[in-house]
Amino acid sequence: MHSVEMRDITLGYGRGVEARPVLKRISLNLLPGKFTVISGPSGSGKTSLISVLGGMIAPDSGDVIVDGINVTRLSEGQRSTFRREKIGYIFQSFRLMAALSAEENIVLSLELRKADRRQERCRAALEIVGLAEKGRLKPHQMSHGEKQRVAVARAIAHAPAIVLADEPTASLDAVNGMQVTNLLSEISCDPHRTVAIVTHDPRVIPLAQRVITLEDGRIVGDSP
Amino acid sequence: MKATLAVRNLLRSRGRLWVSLFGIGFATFLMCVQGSLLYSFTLTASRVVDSVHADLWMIAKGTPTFDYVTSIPERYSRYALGVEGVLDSGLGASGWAPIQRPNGDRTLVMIIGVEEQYKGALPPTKELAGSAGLSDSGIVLDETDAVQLGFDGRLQPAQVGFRRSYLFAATTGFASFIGTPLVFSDYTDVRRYLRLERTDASFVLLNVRPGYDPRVVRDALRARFTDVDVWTQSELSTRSRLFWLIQTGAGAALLLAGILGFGIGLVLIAQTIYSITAENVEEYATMKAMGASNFDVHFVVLVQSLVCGIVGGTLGLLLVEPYARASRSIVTWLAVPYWMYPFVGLVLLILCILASLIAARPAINVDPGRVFRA
Repeated sequence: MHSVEMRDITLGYGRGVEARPVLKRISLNLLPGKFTVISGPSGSGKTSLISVLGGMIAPDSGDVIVDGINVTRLSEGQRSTFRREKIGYIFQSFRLMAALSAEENIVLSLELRKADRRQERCRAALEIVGLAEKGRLKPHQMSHGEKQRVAVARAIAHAPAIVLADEPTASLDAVNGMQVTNLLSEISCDPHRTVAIVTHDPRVIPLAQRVITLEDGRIVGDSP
Repeated sequence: MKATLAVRNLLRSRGRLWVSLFGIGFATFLMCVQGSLLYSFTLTASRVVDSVHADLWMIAKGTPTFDYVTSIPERYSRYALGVEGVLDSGLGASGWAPIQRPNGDRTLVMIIGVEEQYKGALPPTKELAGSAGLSDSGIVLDETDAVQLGFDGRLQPAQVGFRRSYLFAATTGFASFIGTPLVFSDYTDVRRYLRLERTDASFVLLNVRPGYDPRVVRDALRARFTDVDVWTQSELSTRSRLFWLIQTGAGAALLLAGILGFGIGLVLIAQTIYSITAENVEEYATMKAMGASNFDVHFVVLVQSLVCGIVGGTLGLLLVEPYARASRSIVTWLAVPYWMYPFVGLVLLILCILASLIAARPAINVDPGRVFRA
């Protein structure tokens, strides 16, 4: 079983008098098979937390240990490999390639990850998100909800150990938001996968199995 | 899929793409035409030397090019036979002479004649004279100079070097690139037109015996005749080409224009791909967030660069031959060798790779962390 652990993470932006700490000595364990929500007001450090967790940013101090690998000690190239192999991202603004169809977006992601059986994996992922029939549509031909479901399919197609979502429901209406939340909740049931969602959408909280609350760069609540 | 993404992103910026294809096409066209001009220029500059049937040339010391030969003692032709390895030797005469047409117009021509045995691929003046029914002295000119000299295919009287002569035939392949027509006649007639001293010739032509290296015989001749230059045919050919190419500046101008074409192409492709890359930088950030390597990112940019290069380059190359055909009425010696196309294609390939290296920088340097900024 894989493990995700953050130890004593600090992170700040800017230098000198303009230095602004955003994460202050954060330590936590994320458990697979649990739908974890990271919540808190704007500017509390939620996005910075998953950026560090996903190997996107190196913290100023502290360690991120994923399956025994200290991500913070990796070079930029090694962090790319780590992201490629271990992480699936879902973004608030979907970030699908506008020129590619839903299927092609997923296949591109699999190609970058050098995954095998790309078409098969792509079809399976689209089926999970309920868009098997819409694989040929391009992003501009889909609703926001569908786009985000394609983004979820893209994030899980290569079966990553960790799925990180940043405000996945922020651009969606109530129905689509709920649909995506349910979807994320379902994929988090996989005992081999850690799913963490950054959100301040109150509709998501009831489905969460664990809610970590951040405020001013510190964990102020961690309720199962 | 990376290639698909690259091509589709190019097509999304259609207006920019067309401008860029036009620019790249023009740059390719420019490179090909300038390269062909340069190539044709060098061939034309040594056409006479390359056409003569001789292994070695003996010319006045310090003569920079065949076109500027001055007289040397003709006895060297006989003396040369005493040097080991020389099979035969003959004489040639060439120089500048005024030509006057019946209407009184006068111009300067370069008149050339070599002994029959050494004519090689030069115009067969005797045979042409026979065909024209001429038994007197006459000159053959290149068809491209026919209008300038007033030759319409019929026998025309003309004075060359104030001696009576006839224009009697036009030939091809000896167009002049300096505006002064090249005309050919029999060796003895050329001597007469140029008023050469009985004991002089413009150059001595030699062939070496089978099994002898022309360079070894050349060295022996140089040792024996220290007051003249002895060159192998290829050496004199190169010397003539370099003279016109470098010393006159005409070739350098062509070369510079060719390099300029390359520079324009590089700037155009790099600029286009750079702006398309910058336009799609968010997509590159997403790719990098998903773990795309620098190679993956560069691959997308390279494909875009190659597509622009191939399409634009093909458009440009397609225009070269029609342009060359149309411009031969002015630049008569312009030829586009078949290898110029793959050569320019290769240059274009290098150019595309260079352009992609420049254009990929914003994509490679993009911070993947920006994906979380909505």
